[in-house]
Amino acid sequence: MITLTSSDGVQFDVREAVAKESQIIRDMIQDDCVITNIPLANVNHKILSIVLEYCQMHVDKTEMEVNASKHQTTTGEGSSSVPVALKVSSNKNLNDWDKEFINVDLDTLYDLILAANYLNISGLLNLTTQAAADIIKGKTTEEIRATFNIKNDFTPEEEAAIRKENPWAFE
Amino acid sequence: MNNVEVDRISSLPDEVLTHILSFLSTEDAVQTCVLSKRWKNTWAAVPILNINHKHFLINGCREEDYDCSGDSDEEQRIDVARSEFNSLGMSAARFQQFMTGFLDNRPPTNLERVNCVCNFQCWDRTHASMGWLDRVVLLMPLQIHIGIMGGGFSLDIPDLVFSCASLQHLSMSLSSLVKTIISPVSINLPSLKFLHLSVVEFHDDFAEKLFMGCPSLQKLDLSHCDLYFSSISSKVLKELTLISCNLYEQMQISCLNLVSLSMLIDLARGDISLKNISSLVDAVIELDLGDDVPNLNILGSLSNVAELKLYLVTPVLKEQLEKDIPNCINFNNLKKLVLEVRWDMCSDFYLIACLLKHSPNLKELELLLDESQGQIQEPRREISEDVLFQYEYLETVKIGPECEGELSSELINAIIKTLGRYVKKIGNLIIA
Repeated sequence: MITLTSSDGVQFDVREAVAKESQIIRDMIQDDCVITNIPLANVNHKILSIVLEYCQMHVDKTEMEVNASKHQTTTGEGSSSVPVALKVSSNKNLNDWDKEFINVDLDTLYDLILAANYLNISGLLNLTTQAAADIIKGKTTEEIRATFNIKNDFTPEEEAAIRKENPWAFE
Repeated sequence: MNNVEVDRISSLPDEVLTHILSFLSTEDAVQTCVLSKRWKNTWAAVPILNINHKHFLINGCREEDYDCSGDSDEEQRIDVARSEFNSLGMSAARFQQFMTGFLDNRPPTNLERVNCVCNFQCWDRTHASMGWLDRVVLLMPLQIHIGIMGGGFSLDIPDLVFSCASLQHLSMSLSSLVKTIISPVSINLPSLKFLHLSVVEFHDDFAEKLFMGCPSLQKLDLSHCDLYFSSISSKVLKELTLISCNLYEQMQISCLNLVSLSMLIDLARGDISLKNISSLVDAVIELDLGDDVPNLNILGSLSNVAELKLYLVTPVLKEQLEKDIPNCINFNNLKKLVLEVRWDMCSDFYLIACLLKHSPNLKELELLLDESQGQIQEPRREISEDVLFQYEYLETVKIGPECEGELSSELINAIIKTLGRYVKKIGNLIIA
């Protein structure tokens, strides 16, 4: 077990495999195998618990698959057909789970993006940044600004000039 | 939503913003440059080019409108076609303008991935120019994925893409009415590991140049291609897939480290032999033979496979494989044998019996049957002495239809009865 301490001092005891979903924690543990307590200065307990929920789920699913395929090889029943089917169905479940998991408000989404970036959890970073991209997709410039509260600090002349100078991008 | 007044997205680190933009089409990503000063140059750092022709359609011109084969009456169709031609002409021009603008305005930092999906169906040859690809290649991409639906002309693929030192993964699917001939002057892709080419035509020395120029190529995947070359020979290739290809030459496949081979080939004017592929583990083979074929030499080379799928879809292939049986050494590693059978195997079990006899360690036999063919009563073929043997035990036997549908219980019973003559005991019998 490894203890992760959030920026606001809350401790989470997790299995090593779960903590190792994070590349920086993986690197730390490899450098020095006696580490058991890791303080995470940039993640508060609310976000850390969500992040760990993600890691836990993904580790569990992976382990389930490995066990299932091991079971298959030891019993020798159908060397590939069954595990493939199982993998597909569990990937589908995991994708559904991810979709539900990422259904959060914008503030939480930003926090999760930052945490995933800081902890270097590539699956979670892809999931969260993809979710942000999906919000941008199909919106006009004005709609994007309104959705994300982006303040337009171009003067109308400046903005018009950019559009005019780059007809390739805006026509 | 809390903090509705705060703009948090703009304060995300640069690398995170570019990561977000990398999931957008390049056109959408570029247009974020007017959001605010923070966003002005963010798009330029995105290492991915994502192009989809749909973004270049003129207002109201949806993809469905392309379909010039609609069943509306002729006059209306011509009208629609005319307006489509205009808007599609414009969208083609926009596409080329965008590519040029993008490449002119982007800093020359490396690209990681290029995805381009385009429908050139109604574009003319000039607008369908692939010249931009040469400039993209100079940005040293690691991966290029191009899917083009072409029109009534073959595409000109510039040569430079075949000399891209950074390229690890190249995938080009170029479906058009006229097959695109890929024939670069030279090939030099030292980093290439995976090559997928679809709906193209190759000539003479293409394969030779390819394997000379791609010393790291592990996976070659050709589908719906016309092959006019005579040898696939590599010491590094691990996976070879030739799906729905037409072979016009005598081809020899000789790959010392090949692990997986899938061939679904039409041999109408060609012929195939396998050599030096003793490391092969998985093989899937379906050959469509013409009426006048030289003998096959395949089974002898497959002696080490662990899993073998044979799709015996034509009677000619069955006959040719029967002639190939004398070349067959025992399949000592074979654990799983899948056979698609399109004849009445209850009357003619010879080939299956031969294959079973040569597979002493088989665990699983799967038979995929075609109900209609199976019902044709043929005179029983007498099994000669040399295949009179009995399998003590098979762990699993699966019987199912070759595609969807169900097999009649009469047929299943007949097969089980036939199998019973050759296999004493079956562990699991699975009827799909």
